[in-house]
Amino acid sequence: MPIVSHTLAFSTQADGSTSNVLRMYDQDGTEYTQTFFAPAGFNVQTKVDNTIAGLNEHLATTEYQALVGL
Amino acid sequence: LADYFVASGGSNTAPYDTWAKAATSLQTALTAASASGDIIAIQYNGVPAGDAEVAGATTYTFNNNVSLIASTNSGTSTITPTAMSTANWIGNSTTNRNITLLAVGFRIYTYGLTFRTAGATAASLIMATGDGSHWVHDTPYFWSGNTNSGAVTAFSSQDHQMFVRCVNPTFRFGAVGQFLRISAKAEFTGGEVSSAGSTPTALLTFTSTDPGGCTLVWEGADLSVLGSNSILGDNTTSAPIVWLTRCKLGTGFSLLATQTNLNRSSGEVFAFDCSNGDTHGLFAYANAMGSVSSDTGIYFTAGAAAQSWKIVTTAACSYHTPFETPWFSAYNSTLSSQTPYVEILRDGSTTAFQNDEVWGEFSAKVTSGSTQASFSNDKMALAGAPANQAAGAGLGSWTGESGTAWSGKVDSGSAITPAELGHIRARIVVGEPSITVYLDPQIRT
Repeated sequence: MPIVSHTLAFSTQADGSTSNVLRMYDQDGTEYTQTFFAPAGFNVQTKVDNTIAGLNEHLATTEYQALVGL
Repeated sequence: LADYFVASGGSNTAPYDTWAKAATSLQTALTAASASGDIIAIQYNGVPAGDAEVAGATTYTFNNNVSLIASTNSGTSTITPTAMSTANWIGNSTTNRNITLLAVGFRIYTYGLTFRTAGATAASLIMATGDGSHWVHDTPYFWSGNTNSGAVTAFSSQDHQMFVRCVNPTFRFGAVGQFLRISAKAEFTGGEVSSAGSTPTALLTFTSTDPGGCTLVWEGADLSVLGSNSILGDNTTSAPIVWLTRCKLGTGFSLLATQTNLNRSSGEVFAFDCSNGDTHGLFAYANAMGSVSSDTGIYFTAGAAAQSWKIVTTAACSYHTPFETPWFSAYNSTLSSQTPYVEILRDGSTTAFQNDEVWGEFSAKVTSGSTQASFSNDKMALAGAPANQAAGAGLGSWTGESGTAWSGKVDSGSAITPAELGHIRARIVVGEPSITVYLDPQIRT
């Protein structure tokens, strides 16, 4: 089941970096959470895109393995 | 005890006890070194051709508690440790070759060795294996130039009980899908993931058929090259714990990749005083149920370190199988009745947390003459009705909250009377999925 939506919440730290909480949801509404830290000026959107892409690949692999009984 | 020498220019004359008579095969010297305490010195820039470019999959077998040291060739019989670094190696620089180190039940020390594999068909570096073995790799360079994602750098790949220590290791990978696989009790100090080669999507995994150990303690590593990738990958056949202390982390690091098994049978990571910048004294911990990390943006103003602990739970935790922070302590020097508590905060909502969502658990020695702890909490009773947790010091006591927030506290549920001097310990437990809780990690009375 691919990720179909996500939310990103963050809190800014004393040094200007951010503490981020990315919650991703698949077609069934199952939530997957990833937390990460980013310095000021970091391209958070790229990190979000990569995380979702990686999770999609992980979910597809898991689903395939379940289907073929691995 | 005896010294044995290995060099490409040796005469290969037994007993290989000088550089002139050095063996021209590493395994020849390893076989000769059959007494506990023997030392094998291999010329750091004179690795025999058959070892520098092995012709096929190669297993180097150690036959006793011995040491293998990369050394300068003095021409006599002295040993001057000199690391091979990236100019010299054991393995193969152009072709896929599996390289394995085997010692069953022995204690092995190595210094300055570079192990290398290459090619495009998967080939791995199995840098410790053998049931009951104990390995110390000092200043090793593990160089996977192999470009296949199926290639791994590993400490054991079988059902082997092992301990591995690495001092200043360098790990270099040939594909982003590669990783460091540990099936052992491992301790690393210093070292790095090389900026040369590829950067693993997730650095660590502990996959094993039947692991003989699944822990890694790593202090002083430079993991900055990982960037925004994960430290610990998905673990489906083991339940590892990783402790990182005073490490340099990637710019957008994640401690833990998404786990297939959304519970504590998956991996978990502690990070003490680790950062991707110049901020010190931070703490973080993550498992599949949630995470807790230092937050310097929102904190209890009177707290000791201008930081709170920020708990983020995943969808996997519940009242019955909650997320638990690590324990923290406060020294108690009185034997009087007290109700220890911890300040907590909900940011973004003024609704109080209830005692089926967030509670405190406290450990104290309340029995005289015993070290055994007793536990108390303010958790909702099993099958009970939830109630609001008590109000805390108020939003005026917090810095950085959004203004729409709730200040509360969790406590021991009832007064406790320590019978022995010493630490009272506490941890905060969250039974509500997908929420964020801030706490001041200080036990107050």
